[in-house]
Amino acid sequence: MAQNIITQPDTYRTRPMMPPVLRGFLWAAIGFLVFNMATIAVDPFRGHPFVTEVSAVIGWAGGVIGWLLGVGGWEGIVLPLFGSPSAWVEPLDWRRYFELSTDHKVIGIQYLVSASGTFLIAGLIAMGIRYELMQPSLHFFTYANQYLTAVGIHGTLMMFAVGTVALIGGLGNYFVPLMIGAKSTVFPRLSGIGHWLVPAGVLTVIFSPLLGYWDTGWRGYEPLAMQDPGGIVYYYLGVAALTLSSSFVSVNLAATIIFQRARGVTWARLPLFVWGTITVSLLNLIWLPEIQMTFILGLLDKLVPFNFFDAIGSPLSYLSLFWLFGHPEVYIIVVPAISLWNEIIPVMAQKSLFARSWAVIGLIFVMMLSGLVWAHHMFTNMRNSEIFPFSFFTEMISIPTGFSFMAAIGTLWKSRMRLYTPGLLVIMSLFNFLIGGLTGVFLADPPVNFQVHNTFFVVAHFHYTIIGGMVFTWMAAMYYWLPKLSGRMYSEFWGKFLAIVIFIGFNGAFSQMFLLGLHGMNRWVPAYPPYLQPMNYEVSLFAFLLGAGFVGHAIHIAWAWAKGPKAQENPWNSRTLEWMTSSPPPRNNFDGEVEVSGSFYRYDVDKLPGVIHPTE
Amino acid sequence: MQIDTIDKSRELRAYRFGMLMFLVTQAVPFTVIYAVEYLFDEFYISPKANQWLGTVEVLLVLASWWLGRQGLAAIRQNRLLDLVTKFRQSLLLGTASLVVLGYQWGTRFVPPSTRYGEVYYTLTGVTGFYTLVSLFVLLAISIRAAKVKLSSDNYWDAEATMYLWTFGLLTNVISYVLLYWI
Ligand code: HEM
Ligand SMILES: [Cu+2]
Repeated sequence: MAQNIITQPDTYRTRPMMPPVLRGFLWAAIGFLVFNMATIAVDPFRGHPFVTEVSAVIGWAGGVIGWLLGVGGWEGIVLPLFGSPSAWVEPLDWRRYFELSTDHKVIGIQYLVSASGTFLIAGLIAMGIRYELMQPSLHFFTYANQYLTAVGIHGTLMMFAVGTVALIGGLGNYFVPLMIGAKSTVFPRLSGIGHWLVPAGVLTVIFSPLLGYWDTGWRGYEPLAMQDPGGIVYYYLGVAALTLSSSFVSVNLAATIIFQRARGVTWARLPLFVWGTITVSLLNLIWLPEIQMTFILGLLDKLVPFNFFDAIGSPLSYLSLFWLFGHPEVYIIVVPAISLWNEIIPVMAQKSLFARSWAVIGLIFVMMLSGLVWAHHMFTNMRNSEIFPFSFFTEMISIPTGFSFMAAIGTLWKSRMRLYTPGLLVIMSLFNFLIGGLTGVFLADPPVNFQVHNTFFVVAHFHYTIIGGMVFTWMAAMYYWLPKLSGRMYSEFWGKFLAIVIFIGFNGAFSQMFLLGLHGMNRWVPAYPPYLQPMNYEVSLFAFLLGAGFVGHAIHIAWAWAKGPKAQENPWNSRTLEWMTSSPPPRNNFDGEVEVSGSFYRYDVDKLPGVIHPTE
Repeated sequence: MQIDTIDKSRELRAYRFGMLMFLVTQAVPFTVIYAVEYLFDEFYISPKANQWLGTVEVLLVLASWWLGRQGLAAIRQNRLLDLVTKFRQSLLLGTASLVVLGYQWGTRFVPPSTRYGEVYYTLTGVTGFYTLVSLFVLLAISIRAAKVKLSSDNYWDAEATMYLWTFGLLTNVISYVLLYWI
């Protein structure tokens, strides 16, 4: 089918058309109205408002279909599916970022931009949350439910549109094909359309309060959810769009890694980040459909209403179904980051990767064990006898996680690490993740868990793993690959300065949250006993510093991308394949056939592992 | 030339594998509903469920799938016209099965407010949705086949359709067994 899309520089589009994103919005509006009105027309209970919970769901489906067709799905997917010659031409200038694309590099950048934009929006909401918590009673939000909705939107966006997306949809789409010497992916259109589900899902979640403040947080706990106002419906649907996007990318990347590796890129030589991507893809492929179905059951509970998860049914089953996905989800977020440490550290230290196979084994065992620990989120609802196996497996999972950590430490050991910004950020990330992981082991211990469950101790724990582990590494990778993405260099001063700012802001804010939790500060409440105010006030100040630091990084990276000084071909002297082509790489990635005959992580040999045989 | 055919066969294997992987993941949502059905109903079957209509529905799907298989066999022998006709017949029977389902829903033999009813409507609804998607693809590919002239050495599109429809058959059969027999 791939022959139907042509890339043509000079004559843009055979027929003039509206800019695809604008057309997407227009078609989405039309789709919503048509589906919404069709639902109202068959509504057996006349006299309802124009938009009901049911019509909002069906209208949403129409809206998303309209949006996907509008941004290019019509010409790029539907018409070719029916065998018509397609009038779709992918432009080569900036416009290609604003429509359906089949170039994995364009798609990767689209994902990165969507994830970064969402990160800043959800971060702004976090600033609102912290501003509220500077005083022990409501002063910023008017109703408690507003506060809870803000927390829910923050968490939902961060988990499903940033954590799950940035490293796989973004860096994965861009770099995995390059790192295995492939010229394209197996299902380019799948990833291409997948990206456009991200803005759809994000907007759905952001506008959910229009249907009413929902107060369950990102977990959608039952039976609260089925008693909630209508907004919860758009939480379910937004997450459905976002998870579908990640499933598409996972199918595409997994098939690409298995079938498109260049000659000599054996499994034993596969780069670490590629290993991380394929393990996470498998996790995505198993658990994202699981949560989608669970949410559909929740949706039916709300709309019909059915009684799967209320007191007549089984609320605990919902909790189990959620965390069956939810714990693997935390590894979906952090495993690519862990693998990136071992991608970046050997390059920065110019030293062979220590115990490479153990680092890989660690990733695989984390993947397998992550499905066995879910109930550690439910200890307070369980019998003692049921707790033990989950407590045990949770503590066991820190062992394979430790393998990857040890590989990183072993590589650092007695090395002369070059502390450029990416290296600095990776070391900060290691430090943060150590604290996050160790407090996780505490949490897995039932007596401790009973004390601190649902307090800010937990909040601090998972932010240490997610911000400290994943976001810091994401930043590191952005600086590391910026010369490849843009052909330009960032400013070492600003990179390091801003890295230190976020390190101080992050640790200042979140380390004190452990103490807040121990002092009795609960999650999910906008008001708290006054004795907790001083520390909360301070936490908020550090949080604002952190927020400012992230905005600074965003501006700095955007500046360097567009205006930074020209970078050298291979500024870090890395040995992986993405550095063997020009920056940014040409449409087909390499001018020739790639062949690999050595390890990417051995710095004790001079010969480069890869060669390119030019095509005549 | 050599390289070219190797690339082609590798590409085909990648498509097959990707499609299979996608379908395996789509088994997960069904597993969730089966688990929920077992949780709430164990082996209970409502006496109100209409076994006859259920059987007719699944037989229609089976016949439709069988015709689709013949269409695929036809294109392997380069009989394009047979592929198109068989796919269209298959589409017709598949649609008929959805009509039977729609009739059952419309009459509400099974009251939605019961435990069995919840599982019944959820499971038939989700199965029906996947059936609908498969039928859409059958339609699209039956049109595409004629336009791009599929042939005995280029028939992946037809094959992919049958991957999907085989999945549809399996889900229909399992739903049937769970709802009417165990
Ligand atoms: C050594 C590894 C880890 C262990 C032993 C561990 C253990 C735990 C435990 C026992 C809880 C439940 C606390 C409670 O509510 O009582 C928890 C919560 C949480 N963990 Fe971890 N964890 C680990 C790694 C991670 C990672 C890598 C992430 C994310 C990337 C993560 C994210 C979370 C989240 C989001 C929650 C809170 C969920 C909620 O209640 O809303 N954890 N962890
Ligand atoms: Cu967990």
